[in-house]
Amino acid sequence: MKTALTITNLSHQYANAAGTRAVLDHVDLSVQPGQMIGVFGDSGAGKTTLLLNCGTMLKPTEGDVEIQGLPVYDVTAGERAQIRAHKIGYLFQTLQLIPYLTLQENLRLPSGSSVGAADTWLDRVGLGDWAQHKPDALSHGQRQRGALARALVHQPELVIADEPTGNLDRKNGELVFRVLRDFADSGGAVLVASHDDSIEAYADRCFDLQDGSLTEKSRQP
Amino acid sequence: MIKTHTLVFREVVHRRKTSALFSALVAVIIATVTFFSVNRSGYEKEMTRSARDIGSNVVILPAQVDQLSYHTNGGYTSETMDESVLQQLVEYRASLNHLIPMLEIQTQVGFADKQRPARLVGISASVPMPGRPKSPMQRAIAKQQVQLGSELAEALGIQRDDKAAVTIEGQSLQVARVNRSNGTWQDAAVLMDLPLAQEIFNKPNQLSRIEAIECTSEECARTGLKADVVLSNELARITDQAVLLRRDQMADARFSIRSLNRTNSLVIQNSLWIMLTLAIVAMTSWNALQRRNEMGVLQAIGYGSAQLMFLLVGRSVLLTLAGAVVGGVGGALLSYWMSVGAFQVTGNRFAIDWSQPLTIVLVSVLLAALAACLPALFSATRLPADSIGKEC
Repeated sequence: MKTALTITNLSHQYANAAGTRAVLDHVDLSVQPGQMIGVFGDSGAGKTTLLLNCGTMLKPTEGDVEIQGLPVYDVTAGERAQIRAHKIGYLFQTLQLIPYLTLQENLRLPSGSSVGAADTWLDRVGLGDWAQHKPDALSHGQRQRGALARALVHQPELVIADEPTGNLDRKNGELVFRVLRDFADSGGAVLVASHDDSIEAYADRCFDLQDGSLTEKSRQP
Repeated sequence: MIKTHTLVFREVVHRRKTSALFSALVAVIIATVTFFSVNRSGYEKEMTRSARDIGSNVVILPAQVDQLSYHTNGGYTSETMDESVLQQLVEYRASLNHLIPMLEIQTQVGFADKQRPARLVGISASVPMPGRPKSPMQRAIAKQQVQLGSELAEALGIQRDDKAAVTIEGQSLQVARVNRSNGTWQDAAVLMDLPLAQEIFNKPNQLSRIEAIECTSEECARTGLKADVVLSNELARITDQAVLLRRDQMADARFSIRSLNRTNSLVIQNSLWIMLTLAIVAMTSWNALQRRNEMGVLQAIGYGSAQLMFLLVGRSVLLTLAGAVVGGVGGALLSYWMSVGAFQVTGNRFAIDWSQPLTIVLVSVLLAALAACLPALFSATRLPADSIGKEC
């Protein structure tokens, strides 16, 4: 089975009028199918940048990103769109549900999703009764679970989740991690950035992102 | 997967206020452009007609006319030329139009117990040149009818609305109308059908003159040639039975009105098109910029450039079409309503040329589509994080 995600020697810098700021410094990481990886780090540490790099949404300053062995920044924009459509499910920190579509319609946006699949996933995240509501009629927690369902509905190879439990209560936070764990157990690969320590109970490996470098956290016995 | 056109409609309905505002702005712009465009064509017709109504600016006289005595007699000659001159001018397609053949005779007109001297003019409907169709400058006068100049009618004691019959050379002829005064010899003239005049005065196939409007002014202005020389040379090639007089001031005034009219129209038309283009492009681009984040999210979900383009172009075309149809019809009707009253000469015959609003609507929709294409292409070639904004 091919490695779902491989990042090699990945660096990212942001440049602005004040100068250049290195966020990621020669990072290496791989995520296998069936594996759930958690990344911790302080705000501004570069977790979102790492996830955007991995999700083919932001080209790194240096290094390679491969999805199932395919170097995603060496292909055309159209091919990259196809990779995003079929192989990646992305959960944004800011959720980014389309405001003029109902929750069910938001879940029908990804390629290959259907009404049936959308309803199934909405049930799984506890939003079956809210399928015909638009995002602005939902609480933040409901939107967060809806966005998670959208990232999973088209059965991608790799799910990337940025702070999926931010602002969620404990019960809903656990539901989200449980869903991601189940997805990994069914053969998917999951990369999660989170502040929530409870991810350690679900992730196979956890890393700290500090000063641009990833350090694997030792597991508590 | 949800269909892309569903996304277009959903977005339009969701943002109904901004969508309505977009369409309303398009409607106002299109209505303005259509109003001026439709109005301009009516204005051009009015000006052209007014320039034509200045009168004939070329007179073709029999070759044997002594021009000094012609002018001394107030533009009258008893000399005649064969009617075939008219046919020759038409066959040659001379640089003239609105040819009006005339036979003029000094005679007496009687009504009741009064007899008054008058210049009788046998006149035919104006003859257009083949391939240069024009509405008639002079209409035919029915047989057995005459038109009286205002001074002559007053001298005979005939009022404008009287049903009267006058006597000319022993023939009783019905007065069809009394013409308005124009301060020339025509106020003392009586007009009748040319063949009837030729018959009454025993001048078969004879003409005293042919009046016309020249078609050489533009070419002469361009080449620097003198119009009277060009026309005289042309006439000499056509016939040796006639000579030509050009009424320079009238010809120059007509040319000046027409060129000013054309230049003015061109400036207004181009300004309107520039305004239309800028407005549509600005509004469409603004909308595309507003939706940059949404485009980034859709890209992140896997939407390709064609789908993103369809979203932006579809919305832009839909809202522009709605606004343009309303604006096009509204602008045309408003223009019609105002033009009918505003144009004194041609207003009662003013009609909307619907090809103008239709062209404006189609061009607007095309502009909207093109204006949406560029931001869509730009969005599609960027990485999603550049559109959404990075979140470190």
